[in-house]
Amino acid sequence: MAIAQNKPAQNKRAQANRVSWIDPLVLWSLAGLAAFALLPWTALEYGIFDVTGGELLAAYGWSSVNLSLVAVAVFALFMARPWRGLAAPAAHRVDALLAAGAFLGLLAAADGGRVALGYGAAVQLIALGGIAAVALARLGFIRGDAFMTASILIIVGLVILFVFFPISMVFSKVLVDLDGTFTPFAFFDNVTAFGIGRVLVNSLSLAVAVGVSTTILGLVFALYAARVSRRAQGLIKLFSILPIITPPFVIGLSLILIFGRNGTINDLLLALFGDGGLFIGQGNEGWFERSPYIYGFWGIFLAQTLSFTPISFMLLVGMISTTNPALEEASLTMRASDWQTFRHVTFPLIRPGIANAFLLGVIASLADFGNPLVLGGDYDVMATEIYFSIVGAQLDYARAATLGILLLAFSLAAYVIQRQWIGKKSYVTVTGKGGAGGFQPLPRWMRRATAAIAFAWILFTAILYGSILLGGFVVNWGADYTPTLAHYEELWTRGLGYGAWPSFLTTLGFAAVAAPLTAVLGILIAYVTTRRRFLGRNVIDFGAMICFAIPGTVIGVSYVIAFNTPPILLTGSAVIVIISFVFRNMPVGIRAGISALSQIDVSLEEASLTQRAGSMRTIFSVVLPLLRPALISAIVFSFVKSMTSVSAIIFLVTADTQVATTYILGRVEDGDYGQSICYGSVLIITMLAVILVINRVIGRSRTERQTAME
Amino acid sequence: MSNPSASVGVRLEGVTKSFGDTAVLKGIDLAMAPGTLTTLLGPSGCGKTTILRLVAGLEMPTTGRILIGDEDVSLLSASHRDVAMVFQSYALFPHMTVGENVSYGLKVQGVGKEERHARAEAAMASVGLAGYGGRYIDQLSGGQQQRIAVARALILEPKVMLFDEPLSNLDSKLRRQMREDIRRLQQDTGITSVYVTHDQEEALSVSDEVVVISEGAIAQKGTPKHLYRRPVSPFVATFMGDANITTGRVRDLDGVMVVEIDGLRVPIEDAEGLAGERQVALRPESLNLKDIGPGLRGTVRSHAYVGAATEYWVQWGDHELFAIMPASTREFPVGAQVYVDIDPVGVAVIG
Ligand SMILES: Nc1ncnc2c1ncn2[C@@H]1O[C@H](COP(=O)(O)OP(=O)(O)O)[C@@H](O)[C@H]1O
Ligand SMILES: [Mg+2]
Repeated sequence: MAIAQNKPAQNKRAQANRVSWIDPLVLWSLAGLAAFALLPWTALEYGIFDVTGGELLAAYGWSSVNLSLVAVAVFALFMARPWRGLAAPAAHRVDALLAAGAFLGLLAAADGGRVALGYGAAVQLIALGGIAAVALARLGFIRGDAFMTASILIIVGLVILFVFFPISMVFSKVLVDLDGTFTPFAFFDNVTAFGIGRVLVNSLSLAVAVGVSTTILGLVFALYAARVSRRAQGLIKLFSILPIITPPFVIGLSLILIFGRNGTINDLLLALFGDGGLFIGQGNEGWFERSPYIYGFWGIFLAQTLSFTPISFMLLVGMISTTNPALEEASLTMRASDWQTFRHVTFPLIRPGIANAFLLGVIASLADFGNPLVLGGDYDVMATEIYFSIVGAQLDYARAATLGILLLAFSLAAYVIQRQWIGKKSYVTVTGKGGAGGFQPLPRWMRRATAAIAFAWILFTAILYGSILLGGFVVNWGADYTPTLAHYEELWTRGLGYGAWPSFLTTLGFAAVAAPLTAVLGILIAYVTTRRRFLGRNVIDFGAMICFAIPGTVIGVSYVIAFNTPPILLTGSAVIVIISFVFRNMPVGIRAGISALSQIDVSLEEASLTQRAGSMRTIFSVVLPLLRPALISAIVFSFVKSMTSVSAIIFLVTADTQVATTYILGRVEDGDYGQSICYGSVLIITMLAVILVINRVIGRSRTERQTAME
Repeated sequence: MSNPSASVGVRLEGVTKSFGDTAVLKGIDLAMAPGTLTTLLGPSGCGKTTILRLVAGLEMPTTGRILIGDEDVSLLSASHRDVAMVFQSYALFPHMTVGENVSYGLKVQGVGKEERHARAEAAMASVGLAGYGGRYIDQLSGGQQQRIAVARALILEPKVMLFDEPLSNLDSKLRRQMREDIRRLQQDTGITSVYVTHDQEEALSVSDEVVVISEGAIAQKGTPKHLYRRPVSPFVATFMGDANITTGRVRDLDGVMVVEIDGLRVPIEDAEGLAGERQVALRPESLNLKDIGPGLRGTVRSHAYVGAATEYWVQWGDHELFAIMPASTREFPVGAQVYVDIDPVGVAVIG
C-alpha cells in the first residue's frame, strides 16, 4: 500500500509541526517598539524630504515626554504578558481588550491634545490592530483565522477613517458651530441663507432631464445593438471604453469648439447669415451675431447626455439580450403583431432596467463636476457651487459642507432606491437554455429609427472627438485655423520640468500607486463581505455603498475638512491625493471582485484550508490566480479612472502635486483651449493604449491557458 | 498494514450550531472510535454537512466542544486541525495540474520538490491513477476527479478524513466500485473517517457505525445491522429502507420471543424487554404473497413489473402493504385474494 511507504516522511512532518514559532503577539510588539525607535512619531509638516534635522528630531517620540511613551508601555506589557498564566480564553480576552483600548485611547488622546500623528504612530496603531486580530482569532473569531481577522480590522479601520470620519466632519461643520455647540437648526438657516434653493432646483432639474435623455438614448442604442444590428460588438466596445478614457471636461470643451461663441457652428452661421453673409440682403446687417447659447442648462445637458448615455446603454443592452426569446415567440404565436409584442411583452420585461438606467443617469448628473464647470455659465449646480465656495474668494466651509450634505443625500437616496427597490425587481430570466430561434425582429419602423439615431450619434461623437484631436493642431480654433505644432511643443518639448510633463508624470505616479491599492482593497472588501460572516460586516457594506454613491466633489470637500487638522494631518501631501483616488475608484475594485468571486466555488478555498494552508496562503495560491483576469482589469480601470479623476482631488492638490486634470482645468480657466485640448488628446490616447495593450495581454493569457488544456 | 494504534478518535460534546436565528444543530453528542468509519445519514438539509464542516474547522460551533484525540480543537482554524476533507464538488484547483493538486498540501508544508513528486505519485497510484500527474483537472472524468480528490486528502496522512457525499455526482455503477475503494483505503490506512450520505444503501455498506440525523439532532446511532433490525422510531425505520409500519404485540411464547401481527406470529431475535404493544416495520422484500395461509389476508390492489422483481400493493384491513416479490415467482392479478406471509429477517420492532 502506497500510503504505508510514507512513514519516514510523516515523522518529518510531525517534527515540522512541533517547531514553535515566536508568538505573533511578541512580533507585533517588537514592530511597535521598533517604530518608536526608528520613525518620527508625530507628523512632519513639510514631508519627509523637506524636513530640517531639528524638526525631525522633535518629531521622534523619544525626544521628549509625550503620548508615545504610553504606547511604548503598552507594547512592553504585551512582551511580558503578566496575565499569560490565565486560562486560555481569559488571557486572549485580556489581550484583545488591552489592544483595542490602547488603540482607541491613543487616537482620543491625540485628538484631545491636538497631536498630529506621524509614521511611527501609524505603525504602532497597526501593530495594536495586529495584536487585537491575533487575540480575536484565538477566541474563535472568523473561524479562528488571524489573517482574515486582521484584514477585516484593517478594512473596517480604513472605511471608518476615510469614509465615515470625513463625512461626519462635514456634518459637524454644519451642525456644530465654532464653539462646539450643537446647532441642528443652523442647517436649515444655511440652506435658506446661502441662496441654495436656486442651486438645488438647477441641479435636480438638470439631473432629471439628463436621466430621461440618457435612458431614452440608451434604450434606443441597446435595442439597436441587441436586436437590429448583427455587428453590434463594435458599438458595445466603443460605449464601454469611451466614457472611461475621456477626461471629465473634454466633452464640454469639444462642445465649446463646435457650438461655442467662436465655435464652428457660429462661424458657419455667420458665414451664411452674418454681415456680408451668403443669405443676407442689404439692410439686414446685424441680424445675426455670435451668441454664447451653449453655456448654461442646454450646454451641460448636451454634454452630460453625451457623457452618460453609455452607462444606461451598458445596463440596458445586458438586460435586453438576456430576456428569454421564448416569451416573445409565445406572444407571436398568439397572433400578436410585432408592435403589440414589443409593447406588451418586451417592454414590460425591461421596465425595471429602464427605471434603473434613469436613476443611474440622475446620480451621474448630480455628481458631474467637469461639464458644469466649463459649460455652466450662470447655471450653478451643487457640485460646482461646492467648488466655488472653497476655492473662490469666500472660502466658506459651512456653505460647502451644507451643499455637500445635500448632494450626498440626493445621490444616496437615488442610489438606495436603485439598489434596494428596483435592483431586486428584475424579471430577466437567465435559464441557460435560450430559445432555439433567437430573437424576433423588431417592428420595421423601430429598426429604421434606432439605426438612424445610432448612426447620427456615432457621427456626432466622431465629430466631437475629431475636433479634440485636431483642435490641438491649429493656432486658435474658431479664430485662426492655421495648422501648427506650437501647442504640442509648448507642452511636451520643453523638458521634463516644463509644460505638461510635471503634472503628467505626477499623475502617472499617483495612478500607478493608487491602482493596485484600489484593486486589492476593493477585491479584499468584496471577498470578506461575500465570503465571511462576521460582526461588523454591515459597517463595511454601508461604507462600500457610500463609496458607490458619493459624488467626487463631496469626497474632496470632506477630505479637506477632515484632514486639515490633527490628529490626522494630510492635506497638501501626495498621500491624501492617492487615498482619495483609492476611495474614489473603490467601486471598480469591489464590483470586479464580487462578479469574479461569484464564479469561484467556495469549496476550492475550503479545500486549501483543510490542506493546512492558512487563509493568506489560500488567497495567494488559490484565489488570486483564479481572479487574475479580474484583478488585472480592475487595476487597469482604476489606473485609467485615476488619471481622469478631478472632482475628488481638486481641493487636495497643491502646486507640487498638480495632476493632469487640474493642469488642464487651469489652462481652460486661462482660456487657453489649444493647450487644454492638446493635453486632453494625449491623455485619451495614452489611456486608450493602456487599455488596448492590457486587453491584448489578458486575452492572450486566456487563450494560452485554453490551448494548454486541450 | 492498518495502523489503528496511531489513529485517534473524534468526539463532539453538546455541539450546537445556529446561523443567525436558525438552529441548525441542536445538541450533537458523538464519539467516533479511532480507526473507524462513521456514516452520517439523513435527509437533505438535516445538518450533515454542517457537522462535517464543524469537525473540519470550516465553521465554529455556537456552543459545545470538538475533540480530536484528546485535543480540544473547537477554536482552532481549519488549517491547524490535521483534518482532510473530500468535498461533494471535489473542489480540485482548476489552475493546477493533477500532480500539483495532489501535492498542494505538501508544498504548503514546505516539503522539497523530489519528495513531493514521489509522494504525489504514490498517492495517485493508491487510487489507481499513476501517471496522471501532468494533466489538467478538466481532462479527467468524474470518477477520476473523485479519486484525485481522495488522493489529495490522503497525502497529508491526516488524523481525520471527512467525506461529504463523495459519490453523489457519479453514476450508479461507478458509485458501487468507488465506495468499495474508499472503504478499502480507509481500512488500509486506519484513518478515522466520517462519511456523509443520504443514501442508506451506501451507508450500510461502508460503515462501522451509522448515525442517523434528523432535523439537526441524532435520531439513532449504531452498527448498520443494529439500525436495520432495531430502529428506535418510524423515521429511522423508513430511512433505513422501505418499510410498512404497523403495530403488533411482542410476547414471550414458551421462551421464544414473537411478534403477533393480526394473529400471525413471527419469531424475532434480541427482543428482551420489548414485550407489549409495539410499532413494527415490515420490509417489502420479506413479504411473500401466497394463495394459502398462514399470513395477513388481503386483496391485491395494483402491481408493477420492475425488471428483476414485481411490486405489489395489497389492501389489508385499512392498511396498504407494499411488497416486492422476485420476478421468478408466480404473478397475482389485481383483485386476487392473497395471504401475505412475513419472513422474520425483514421484521424490525421499533423502540
Ligand atoms: N452558511 C449557512 N447559513 C445559513 N444557513 C445554513 C448555512 N449552511 C447551512 N445552512 C442551513 O443548515 C441546514 C443544514 O444544512 P446542511 O448541513 O448543508 O444539510 P445537509 O448536508 O444535511 O443537506 C439547512 O437548512 C441549510 O439551509
Ligand atoms: Mg450536504
